[in-house]
Amino acid sequence: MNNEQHIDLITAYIDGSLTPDQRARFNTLVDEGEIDILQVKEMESLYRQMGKLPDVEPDNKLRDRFYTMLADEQQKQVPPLSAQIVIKQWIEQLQQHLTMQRAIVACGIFAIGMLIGNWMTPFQNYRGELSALSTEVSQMREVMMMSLLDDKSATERLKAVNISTDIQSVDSRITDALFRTLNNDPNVNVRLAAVEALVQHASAPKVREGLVASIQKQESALVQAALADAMLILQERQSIDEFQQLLNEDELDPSIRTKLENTIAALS
Amino acid sequence: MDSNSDNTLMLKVKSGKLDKLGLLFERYNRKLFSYFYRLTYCRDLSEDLVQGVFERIIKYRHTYESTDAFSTWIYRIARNLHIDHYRRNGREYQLDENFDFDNIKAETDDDLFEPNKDHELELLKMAMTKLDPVKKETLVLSRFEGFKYKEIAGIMDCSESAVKVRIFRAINELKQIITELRSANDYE
Repeated sequence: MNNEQHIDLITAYIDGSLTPDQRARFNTLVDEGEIDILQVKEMESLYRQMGKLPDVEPDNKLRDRFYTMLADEQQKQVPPLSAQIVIKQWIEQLQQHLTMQRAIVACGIFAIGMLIGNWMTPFQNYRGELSALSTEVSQMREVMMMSLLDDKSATERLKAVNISTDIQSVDSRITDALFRTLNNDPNVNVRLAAVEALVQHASAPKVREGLVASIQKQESALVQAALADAMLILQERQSIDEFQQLLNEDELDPSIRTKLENTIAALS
Repeated sequence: MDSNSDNTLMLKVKSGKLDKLGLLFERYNRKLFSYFYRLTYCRDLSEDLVQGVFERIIKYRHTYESTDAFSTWIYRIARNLHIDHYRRNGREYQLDENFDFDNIKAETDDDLFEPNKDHELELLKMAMTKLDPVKKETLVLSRFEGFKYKEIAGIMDCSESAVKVRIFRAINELKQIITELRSANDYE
């Protein structure tokens, strides 16, 4: 049996890795009987014979198992989303919903168009023009009323008072004109019409005050009766003193006295 | 560095490109299967161990360094896996090959002049199963897997001298086992 002190040389000889120096030394040791070359040859032969043992191959299922495992691992290790990937995914989602977005954009543009159109289109202008036209008509009526109130004909002045009821926006000029008619017009019918016209504008305190003040200025029993009715409608208690003063007048038409007393009683 | 070298591929696997492990699997699955099979003589177990090696590569890929030789690294994993299995289950392998140690075909007179090659290989194969595990492993790495003694030392975590001693003793032990098997056969 070879001595283990020469293992380096023997193992190098067996696997064929002897360097020239090692080979020279190996040969010397063989010559000196330190190494039994027959035993080394037997070892080498056995070592080489091992290479003749048949190879073995794994089954294909090993490959299947490996790739299944690898796929599972790859799925588990989804990398965290970077900003770039997030943006990319967002763009992809946008592209996927492009049709929907186009429809939404189209609807948006249509709605904006409608708003702008509604704001700027002739329809609005028509409205403005109509309003301006209405104002113009109202102004024309006012002018007509003013001019007719000064007419000599009672019929024309009566027409003027009636025109005032058609004027939508009544200003102080009209009410002043109507009060002038109520207090100064010689025709009773015209003054009665003026009372009716002014009652329609009695929401204004100035008109109510004017009506109350007008009571003392009326001599016609018909007009006094009309004012008494108006005060009852308006429930104007400030008129009581005015009516009381009328009652104190001896010249008061007896036919109206009872009516005024009833009016005072109703307002008290 | 070759972009498809084992080391480069493993560094890519380490960086997260797990698909590169497929190429390494194709290069090493047969070698590893052969390694495990010559240690265990059990196909199913060998396949399980090969699969286990690649699972461990994925699990411990962060430990791989560019200075490591991949072949040495993967066999170190393979060896540790085999040792772990041995510790857990003992050496209770169900041998695939039907070794009938008591009924080895006797050499005929003709074989004495021209030895029956199949018979000799059969004896060698049986002798391998009886070899000391560490010696057998050293011999397998050297003779079948083609590693140099220095590389085997790296895989088995021992000195190169220790590897040479194991090889020397393994061959002698193998010779002795074959002689005993042959003698037992001749006696019968």
